[in-house]
Amino acid sequence: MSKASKELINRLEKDMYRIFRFSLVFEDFTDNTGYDSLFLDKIYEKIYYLREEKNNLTEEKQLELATDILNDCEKMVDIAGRDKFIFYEDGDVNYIWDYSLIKRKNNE
Amino acid sequence: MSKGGKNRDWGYASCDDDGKLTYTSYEKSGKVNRYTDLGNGKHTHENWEKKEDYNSGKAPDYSRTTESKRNNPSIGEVQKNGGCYLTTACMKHYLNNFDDNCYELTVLRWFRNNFVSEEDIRHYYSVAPYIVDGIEKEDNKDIVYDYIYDNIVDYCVTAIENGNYEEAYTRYKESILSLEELYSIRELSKKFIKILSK
Repeated sequence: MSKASKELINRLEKDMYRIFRFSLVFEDFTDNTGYDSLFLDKIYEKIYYLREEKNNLTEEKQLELATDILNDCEKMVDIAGRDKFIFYEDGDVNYIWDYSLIKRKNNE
Repeated sequence: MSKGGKNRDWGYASCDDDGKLTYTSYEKSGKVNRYTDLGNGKHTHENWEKKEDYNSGKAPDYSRTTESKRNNPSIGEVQKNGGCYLTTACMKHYLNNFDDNCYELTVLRWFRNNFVSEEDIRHYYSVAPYIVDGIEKEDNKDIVYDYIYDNIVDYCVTAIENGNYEEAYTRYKESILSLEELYSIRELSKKFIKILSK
């Protein structure tokens, strides 16, 4: 495995990890608030495509798609409100749950 | 299960008593999320505000038992930030200098995502927690982890570097079966008895 290939694989692994974390975080956001949108649907469609087709794509193409998805994820965070998320140095992201919304919904 | 690495949240894949694949994520924020595969490409979702509540068996603070609108991640992807016996072996080998993005684990994850069948990955994640539990109970567990590092991690990485993917796959698969027989049979038997007694 060449050095360039190792670096590319490393970067791709990191990006795929971030995409995985974003996919779960947006699910937290939707389940907590009931929010949904066509833009969010589009992000998940792109993620699904990348997951399903990655074995048919070069690593360079996978990286290109991953970068596009991550750009959309950052836009989605801005739409939802950046203060609803915690970002970590290692690229991880967590959603800040509002449990009052759940209690309110349970009381309806 | 071992941590995925310092400053990271960690998660692990396992199978519940009904054989459904479950991913449990301990988040850095202190929450716990659990997703259970429904077997149709979708999953349910439970959330605990405090990991102590999850660990003590309390009911979740949020629960969606209906399927999500979203598709499941692949099983290999699920374990990206989690631990497994291979990770533990690397952790023990590197001790304080362990990095979850170390070369060995990066290569093995690439190999897993591109060459290992979903069926084999699913089997691995159904037995890996029991293998780790079994090894952790051994007095000589450090020797066991050293053996795993030398004979599985390092061996497979070398084979992959040389393009001997079939050799790496064979070693990987044989190692799971051997470790399963050595360390997890007892734990799995207890689980089987528990299921039968329900």
